[in-house]
Amino acid sequence: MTEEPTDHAPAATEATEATAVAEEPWLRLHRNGLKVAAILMLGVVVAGGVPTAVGIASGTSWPIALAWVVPCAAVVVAVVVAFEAIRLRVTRYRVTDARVEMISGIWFKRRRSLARERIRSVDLSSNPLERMFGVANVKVGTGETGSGSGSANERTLSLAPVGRAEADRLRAELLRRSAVEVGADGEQRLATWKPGWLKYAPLSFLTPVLAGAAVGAVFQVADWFGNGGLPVEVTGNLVEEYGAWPVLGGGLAGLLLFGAVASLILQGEAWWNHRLDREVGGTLRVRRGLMISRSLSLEEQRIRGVELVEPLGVRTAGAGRLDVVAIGLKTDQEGSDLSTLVPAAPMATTRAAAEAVIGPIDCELRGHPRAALHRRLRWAAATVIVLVAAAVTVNLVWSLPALLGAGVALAVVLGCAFAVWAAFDAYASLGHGHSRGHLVSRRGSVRRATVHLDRSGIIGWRLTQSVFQKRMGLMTLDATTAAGKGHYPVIDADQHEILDFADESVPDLLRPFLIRNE
Amino acid sequence: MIGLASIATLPVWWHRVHRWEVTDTAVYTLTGYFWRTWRIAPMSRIQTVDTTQGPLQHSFGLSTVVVTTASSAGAVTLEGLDQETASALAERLTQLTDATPGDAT
Repeated sequence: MTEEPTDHAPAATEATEATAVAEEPWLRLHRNGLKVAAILMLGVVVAGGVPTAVGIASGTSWPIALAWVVPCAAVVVAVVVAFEAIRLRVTRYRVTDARVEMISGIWFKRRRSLARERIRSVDLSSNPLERMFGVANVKVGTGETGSGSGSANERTLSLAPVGRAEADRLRAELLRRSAVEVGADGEQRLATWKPGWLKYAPLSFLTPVLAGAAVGAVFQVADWFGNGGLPVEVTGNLVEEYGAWPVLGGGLAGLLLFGAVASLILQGEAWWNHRLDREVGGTLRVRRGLMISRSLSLEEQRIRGVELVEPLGVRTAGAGRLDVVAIGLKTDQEGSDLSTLVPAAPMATTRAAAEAVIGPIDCELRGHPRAALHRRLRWAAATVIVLVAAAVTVNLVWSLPALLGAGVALAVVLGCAFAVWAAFDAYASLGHGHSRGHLVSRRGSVRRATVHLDRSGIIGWRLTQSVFQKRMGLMTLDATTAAGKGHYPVIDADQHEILDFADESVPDLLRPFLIRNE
Repeated sequence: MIGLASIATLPVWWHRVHRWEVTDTAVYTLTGYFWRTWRIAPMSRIQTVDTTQGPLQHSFGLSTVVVTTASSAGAVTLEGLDQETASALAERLTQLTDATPGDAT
């Protein structure tokens, strides 16, 4: 391909006037993207082709299998690479004084343009292959929340890939800072990852999830080879040979061990060499990753608070992670670590990082009325009733073997104990208060989260009260905000106290609608 | 039977329960009976004001005003206002929000 070089010197945007809009040259994506795509595709084809060839060969013979598979693979690779080549050729972008523009599309030309003042985050990522070829993917996010028109795709602009230097230049320029100014001395280190933090990884919820996934995968693979019942047979044989309890205990332990190791690997990969910096010009930057290096830059202007999250397992070890509540960073999906500033770390470290980001976070949390505890105990009681009823029904309908019956009984007893414990723990977690300039709300047992929400970032209230809450004199206050999840609740607070609290948090918003008894 | 009864009683009930109020500084609604919800959106944070009218609403001369803020959870819906009230309200809200500076986040 005869492309013009992609690593253009950035045109001096500051110096030129409005006329520059017309003069700003269109830039192209990096041509090494083609090599990356080709190698990636070869890998996919080999991974898919070899089992297919083996499969066909076992039915017929090797030459026939190869005669089928190799041309198919070649066609697939050729088509994908050709498409990628055209995509790289036709995609152009430029950064003008006011906008970032991109032209893309093979059949349908698409021109997408983002106002620069709306850009809230610039996200760089590169996998090992891309790093080898010195390219990176840039994702520019405006993060418009709400039910507005346009899918998430239309609100982000993705340049995949551009050269490493160009990526850094874009990141610096789009967040309104000159690339020249950023020196190592201008950065302020807010948190640095320590390998010791990895010990919290096996305690996360990834462990059981991955263990479950492993079980599913075993069945799936067995099914592919036409023997879906094999794992059950193997288990059955083991039970006959060693007895039921050792197999059950050993199996669980083995699965958990697998989950723990997998979780350790995943989190180690994601968070290796993590650094949280404050850069010149008021930007937070998170850099991390062992294989895939990730970098997230976030304008501090867009930050509306932080959330200290302590999932149950991690909490028992006295640790927690720090998430940011920022405009344009969606935190809807649980398990997404995009908004995480500091992974599971000792609580003191996490709190120190939080203070570095938003200022002092110390505050006295007010507890919630006893009625909130009673409400939680009722939920626990309902859970207990359902569990026991389920266990009794199961035992009555199918006459279970003694072992399975005992297993069910044990699970129910444990489940009930956990439900009751969780009720007390969830009540103990509840609290709300004010720190300087922030509304603080803590809740949750399995996932305890303390949100510190900037009071100036609260853009409305939503108060809800069910009939049950009304009888108990409780009320839930939701602070709506443009950032993060969109709303952060204070659950089951006293119905009179919470109104005063809301009024105090954002003066004059609620007051005209309050009726006071004084 | 239950269907008929609810057709007869629910609209009346909704009409009795739902409340709204617009002051110079905020929009306020109260909806629901078993799950009562009060919503308050300050004028300074309003981003869009939409007036919609379905065919059925049209035949009764009613419309709905939806007031959106920058929060995904902050939209305030005023259902079943009569047409003139709705358009007057939308106009007033638009003027008030235009008068308030800031990017509403």
